[in-house]
Amino acid sequence: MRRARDLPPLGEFELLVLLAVLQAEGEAYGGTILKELEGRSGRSVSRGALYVTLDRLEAKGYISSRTGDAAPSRGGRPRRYYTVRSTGLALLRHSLDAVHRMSEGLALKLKPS
Amino acid sequence: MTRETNPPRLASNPPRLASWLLARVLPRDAHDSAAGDLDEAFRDEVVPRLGARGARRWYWRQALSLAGAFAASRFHSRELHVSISRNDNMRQDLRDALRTIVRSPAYSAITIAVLALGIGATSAIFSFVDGVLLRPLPYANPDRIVRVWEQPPGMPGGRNAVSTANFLDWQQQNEAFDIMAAAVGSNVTMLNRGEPLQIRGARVSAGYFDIFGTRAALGRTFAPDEDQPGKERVAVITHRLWASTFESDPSIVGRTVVLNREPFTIIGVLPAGSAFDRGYQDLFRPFAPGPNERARNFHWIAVTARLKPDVTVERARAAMQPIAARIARDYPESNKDWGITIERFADISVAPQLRQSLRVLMAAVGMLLLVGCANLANLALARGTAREREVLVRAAIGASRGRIVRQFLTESLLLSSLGGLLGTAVGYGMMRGLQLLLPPLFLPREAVVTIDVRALAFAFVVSMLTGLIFGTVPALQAGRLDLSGSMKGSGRTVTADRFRRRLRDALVVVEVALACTLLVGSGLLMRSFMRMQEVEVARDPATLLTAGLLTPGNRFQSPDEGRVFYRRILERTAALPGVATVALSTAIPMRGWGMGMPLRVPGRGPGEASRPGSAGYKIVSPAYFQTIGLPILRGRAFDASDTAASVPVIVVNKVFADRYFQGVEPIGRHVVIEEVLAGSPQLGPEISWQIVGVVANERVGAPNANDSAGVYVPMEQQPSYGPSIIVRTTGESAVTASALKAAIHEIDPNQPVTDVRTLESIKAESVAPDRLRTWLIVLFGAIAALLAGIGVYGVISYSVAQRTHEIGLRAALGASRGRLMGLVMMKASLLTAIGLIAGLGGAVASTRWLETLLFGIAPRDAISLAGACTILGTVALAAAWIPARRAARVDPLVALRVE
Repeated sequence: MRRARDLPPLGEFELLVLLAVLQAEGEAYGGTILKELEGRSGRSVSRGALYVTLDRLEAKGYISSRTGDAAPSRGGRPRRYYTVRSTGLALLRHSLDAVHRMSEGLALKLKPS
Repeated sequence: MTRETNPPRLASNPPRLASWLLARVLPRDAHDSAAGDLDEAFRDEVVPRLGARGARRWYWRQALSLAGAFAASRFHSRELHVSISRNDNMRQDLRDALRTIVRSPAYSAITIAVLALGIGATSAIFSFVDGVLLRPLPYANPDRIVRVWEQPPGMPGGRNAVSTANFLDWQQQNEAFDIMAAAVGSNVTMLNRGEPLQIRGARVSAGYFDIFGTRAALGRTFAPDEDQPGKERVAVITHRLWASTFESDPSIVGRTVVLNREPFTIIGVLPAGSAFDRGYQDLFRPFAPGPNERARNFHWIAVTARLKPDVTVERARAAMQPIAARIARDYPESNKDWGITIERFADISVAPQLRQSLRVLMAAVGMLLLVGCANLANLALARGTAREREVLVRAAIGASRGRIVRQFLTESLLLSSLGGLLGTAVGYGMMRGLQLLLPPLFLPREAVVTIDVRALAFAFVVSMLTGLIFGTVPALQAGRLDLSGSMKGSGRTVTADRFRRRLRDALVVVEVALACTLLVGSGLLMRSFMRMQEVEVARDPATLLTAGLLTPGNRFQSPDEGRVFYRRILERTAALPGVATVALSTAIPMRGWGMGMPLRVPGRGPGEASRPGSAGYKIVSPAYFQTIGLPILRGRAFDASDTAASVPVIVVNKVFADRYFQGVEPIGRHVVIEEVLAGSPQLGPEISWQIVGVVANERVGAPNANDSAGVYVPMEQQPSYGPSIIVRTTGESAVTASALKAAIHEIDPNQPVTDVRTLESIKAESVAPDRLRTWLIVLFGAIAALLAGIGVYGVISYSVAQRTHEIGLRAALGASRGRLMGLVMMKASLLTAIGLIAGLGGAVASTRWLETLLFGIAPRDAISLAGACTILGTVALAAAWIPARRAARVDPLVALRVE
């Protein structure tokens, strides 16, 4: 496994999606991830962007997926549940560390007014 | 409640089209989860929250977002992908091409716009060529329809109208035709809610519509015996007339209308959109010749016939000759030496001038399209420089030359297809515009001008061809790039450069040559049109007001009653304020002679034989020459002393005097012509007219028509019904149409006054098609010259950029600015000169084509040739001037540092 700091940095939206998958741990499929994203980030998220990003993160090996059960309300199509893989977790940690380090000492300036 | 016990209702199903779209666009594995999630959210959350309708809207938004995101991601993810496999298919090429097009929007937009204009103009002209020249006639069995004429003595192939008695004999005796039908123009006056309404119409034999295979859309056409006297009080109308005058009355069949004061029953309406809806006539009555309409020497009928299935035109001609010979033998006084002429309807339905105009326009627009292609090829070549890297990378990883050529061709074909799509829309607009600019009834009624499958197929073929033409050159050039040399150095090689430069030079020469040929043609047509405009139709035609006074043959009991009526009309209208003079005539200027008559000019002495001939024949009131401003060259005009009781007098025109009295005094000599019986198609006894005057040649036809021999006789001595009235007003529109109408209606409220207009507007209408043709070609020529200028500019700029180093060196060694500019201009002049020489050659070779369209201008008119060269030379050198100045300002220090 390559070290996290050698990997290309995460985009902001990728970061948010990874966090949302973690938040919905265990129940993380498209619907719940979208809800976490919108609920917590407070912004409306394009459904298209989400699924494309999930695809990309999976292709890069940051998350993995398994197919779940099909329900009649889904037109018989199965859900796909996502989990964050260790590479993804490491990269996430790396990115968040960077954010923390960057924001150190700026508490006053960044305080919500 | 659970989902299982409460299955989703139909109304809460996602929109099917949106689901289908998702299934098409999303990759299969992504689709299962994404579309499944979407359906689940839709049913479980959104429908309860927003209701069925709001939820469907929501679903559409989400589906479009998904589809858009996935489509875009597929596109981007291949951005860097370069195909290396030899077995790559068309789809890969297309995708690459599409990406290249999207990535250089300015280049693509220019290319597509040039192509759209070129293909659009070509398609628009083609729609006319197709409708008028190429399509079969819109009738059943068009190959069997023929026109039949009488052939006057001494005129092989001559076409003369047919007399009633001869027609009836042909109809009974021939064995070549299924059906033979007569048609006689016959306008009628119908009282429509108390207003006299003039309707253009014809009297036709019962079988007339069967020849064309036209059936009534409502009711029926004529029954076989309805052209017999006593049964002819029926009428068939066009759909056009039914829709306008009769307001599409569904119960029209069986309705009685009063036409020319006699009741007729409408029995049928012709189909909408048929040739008859585009023709001149609107109302057809049976041609049942009355006892005074059966003369053998009055030629007035147009005859159409349908060949029997196995009879050719040649056989029909052979079969009719014995009949003509028999009639000539039995009735020598009227038919001696007369024959019969038969032509296929398809061969004569389009006038030769129109045929030639369309061919010339098509050729011109085709040349313009070629100039456009050469220009685009040049542009693509210039761009090829920028794309060398891409080509080299492709080649380096194994793409074959053929593969690269194919890639470039795919790209240009895609561009030309897009141009073609847009061009079809442009072409439709242009076609509609041209249709509006043409005078009504200008095209033959058989012409269907439209953009349909044929025109679309044409546009498609043209698009593909243009794509190939302008794409081949850069594709070949790209295929020639030398890999080994290029990768090492700056990415270009000497051979590829020279090849490209020569290609570009050659393209510019082609552009200049084609533009030159087009400009010569434009110049010729424009100068010819100006000559035509200068022709004086009559003195000051803007102050000549004309109108038709249609009168049915049964209007007057006797010629004297007619004389009185027209005298009163002349007196009343002359008294109107603003009227200088008034005249009546059987035909107004530019609308033909109206009649042509056989005649003979007796010899001077008793021993000298009389000379037979024929001439145009107008019946006019005394003030005619004065009113239209026609000068009397010898003798006198008519005056009030020329009455029914005095000696019959005639005025001949100059052509007539020159032909029959070469150098001899015509005044006092005689011309013998049969009397024309007023109100019926018959000739009376011969009258010996004494010549009292010679008048200048009147403009009888279009401004560019040749003068023909003609004579004028006074209306008082030779009565005629239904003349036209010509009023010379004292100033612009001093007498209005309504004042003229009112004055005439004071004398007879039922007298129709039709087509009130100035001679100026008649002239404008008669030259309108020439004007349109001329301006189209001038427009094509101007665009071609502009494109050629852009081509020169491109090539010279490129060459200056290439030679910066050399120019800098020359400047450093002391070459003056003037010398440097001269160096660059030299090349531009050389290219332009070669192009001009080739173009002049093409112009001279093709002017024979234009010859029949020219008026008063020789086809090798020096001014047109020189003018084209001057214009094009100026444009080309002006275009080269800009890069030449750039060359002259090259800073030696900067230039030498470049490499």
